[in-house]
Amino acid sequence: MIYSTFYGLFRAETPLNHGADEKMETTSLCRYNTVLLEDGKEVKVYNISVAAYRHNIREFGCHRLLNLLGLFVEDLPEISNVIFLSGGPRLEKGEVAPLEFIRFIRQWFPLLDLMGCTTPFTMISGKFTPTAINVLAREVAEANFFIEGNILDLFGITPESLPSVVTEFQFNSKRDTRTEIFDIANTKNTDCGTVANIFDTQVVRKGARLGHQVMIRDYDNKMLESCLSSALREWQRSGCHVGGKINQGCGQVSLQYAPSLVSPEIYENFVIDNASKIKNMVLDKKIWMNKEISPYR
Amino acid sequence: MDEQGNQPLQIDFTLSTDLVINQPIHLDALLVYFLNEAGEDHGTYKDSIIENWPLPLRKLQIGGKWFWDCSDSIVIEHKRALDTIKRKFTIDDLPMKSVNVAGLKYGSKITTFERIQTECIRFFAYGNLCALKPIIGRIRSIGMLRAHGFGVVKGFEIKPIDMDFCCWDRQQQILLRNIPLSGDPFEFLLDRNVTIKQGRYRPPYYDRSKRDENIVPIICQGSKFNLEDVLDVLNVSQ
Repeated sequence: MIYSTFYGLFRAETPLNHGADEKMETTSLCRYNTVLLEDGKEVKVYNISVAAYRHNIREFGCHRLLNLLGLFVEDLPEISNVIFLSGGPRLEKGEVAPLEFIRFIRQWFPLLDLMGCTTPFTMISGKFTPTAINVLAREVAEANFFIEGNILDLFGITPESLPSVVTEFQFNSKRDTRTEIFDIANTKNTDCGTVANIFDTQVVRKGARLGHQVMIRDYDNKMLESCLSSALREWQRSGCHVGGKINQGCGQVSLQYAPSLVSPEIYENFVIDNASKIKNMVLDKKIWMNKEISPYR
Repeated sequence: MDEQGNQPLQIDFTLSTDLVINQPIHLDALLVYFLNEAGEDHGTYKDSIIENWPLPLRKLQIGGKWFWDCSDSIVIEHKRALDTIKRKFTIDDLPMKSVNVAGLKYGSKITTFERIQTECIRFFAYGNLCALKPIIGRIRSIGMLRAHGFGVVKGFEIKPIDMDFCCWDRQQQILLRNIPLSGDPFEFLLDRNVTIKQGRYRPPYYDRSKRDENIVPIICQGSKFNLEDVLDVLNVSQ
């Protein structure tokens, strides 16, 4: 087993939005964490949730796997669909799985080995630990945090080149005044003519840079790193969107990792070589139940 | 150092991201988890339910019940408990606002975690330095929500210290972990500043299956009293 650490640098090609639960009247705010600096000052670190990033890796990793197998998402039985696209169903009853079953899943499905999954009776832990994708603002860069410091060093960015204000407000939507015609109960506004409700969304500015750290507990042949590389390539091919309001033009990023990941060939060659076997297993519902792996051993 | 090479040790983890813990982490549970993970990698997987997992730690005994001599986690340089993280479990496509989180159907479906900005988390363990080092070297992240990037370990340091018990602070007379209770709980409570509850004192802490056998009255971490009054035997044989 080897532990690999990578640092990723994202660049916002369009404004990014990841809504928090917090709202300021009609303005929905961007997600942030408050960080306390050594001098007692508080800084808002805007970030994209790592759950959003993880889901992208899982989803596009699945799409790539299905491409290689010559399948479509619609072909999958329900249980395989849930396990590959959203991580698995709720546990009916937690049991300690035999090592044989865990090894079988890890051997034939590197994507599930990397990301972890639940089957109806047990949970298989993942080997992939990314951190939240934080926006690199000047104050954060000057605060000497470990991960952010490494990113700046690796990509040769100076704190002075980073902006101190990274967010702006974007016009989002307006309530259509024509709906007032049908609003019979609302008698107050009918005399006022047009009633405009403008909603604003706080977004991370276009051109802002974001960074995070990724850790993988990998095999000696770098199968899982190659699997991640394959999923990332598929994600980039599809437009590389993260966060919310994608239908309104938000969320496109470009990304690079240092040190660079290995090529996806190791993983993809493994899938192509064993395509018929993996295809049968993906389409078989019983494979996810205990003691049903014997025909594929 | 005793005959088996055990000595009091201080284990410090430095962190590069924030920590999420709702209650202290038990060091023995942490060691069992990572031994389990190592076993899975090397093909010698064991069931974590097994109670007598041979950890390289000293055993202490109270009232015929033995436990590992190690402390729970102590958060050092804790700046402030910062804002909270809400984790939503997808039940239906209900928006956050329309869910009554206080009770009823969805009461237990939304869990709130507290995010702590800290740089160091500390444990004390009376154990074998050479045997503990490779297990602790496997620990790359600690605490809850590790898959979401919390509690990433930057580095660790193990050093011998001068302590006679690692589960009890002699100077402040404070218990650093949960220990089993011997005798009558009501009698024990007299003239003592302690907290007693029902629970487990050995890994697996999550196991509630054999309720009668394993869940016993325990004295909680943070209680103030003299450990030597209740201790039966030191260093029970493995």
